[in-house]
Amino acid sequence: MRGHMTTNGYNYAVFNLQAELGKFEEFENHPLHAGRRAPDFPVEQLETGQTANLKDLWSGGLLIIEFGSYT
Amino acid sequence: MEEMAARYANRSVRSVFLYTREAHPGENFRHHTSMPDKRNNARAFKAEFAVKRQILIDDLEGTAHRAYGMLPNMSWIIGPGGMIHYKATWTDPADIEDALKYALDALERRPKEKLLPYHSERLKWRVRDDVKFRARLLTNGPQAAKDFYG
Repeated sequence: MRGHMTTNGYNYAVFNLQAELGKFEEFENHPLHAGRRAPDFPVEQLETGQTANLKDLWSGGLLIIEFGSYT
Repeated sequence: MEEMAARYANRSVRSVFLYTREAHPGENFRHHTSMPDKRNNARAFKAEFAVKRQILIDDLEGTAHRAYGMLPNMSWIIGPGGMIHYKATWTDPADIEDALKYALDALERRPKEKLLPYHSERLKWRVRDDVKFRARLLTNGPQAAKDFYG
């Protein structure tokens, strides 16, 4: 396979259309949905390099999270 | 999203971009093999798209991204206590704003009117501009377009 991938294949070097289409089907049955509690994770703030917890970001009101990447 | 985020910034609404793995890696924007790779791509994204929202970076293994469903451009609205108010497969600012207005109104009315939440779903539609999409993939690198279109 072209390029380096992390052992679990998350950071794929080659986009696989069928595999990624499968993720959309899985999302329809995802256990997290409106009315449930979102999981908290530490994330890095790009500007400062400091770590923030998602729960601290939604504690003061509503938090809109857009997931994405350059590509 | 930037414009919408700015309009609600003073209403207890925070809008962030959580940077994930590269959805369509190519020669110009490769998959991440390290956190510096991820940070560099996130900076390039911020610069090219003039992102003013706070950009958060998931770990290299995409722990948060995985937990939330691992789709390339999904959007969520989460309230105090972690209550999920909205989730969508794709990011549509108009649809998010519609959900946001509803959530803000409900949260405001809730204490006085003793509102109780319930779950509902709806189907949404979007247009994909194939010409623009293919051009975008080619920006990532010819391999990105080949991987998608064959």
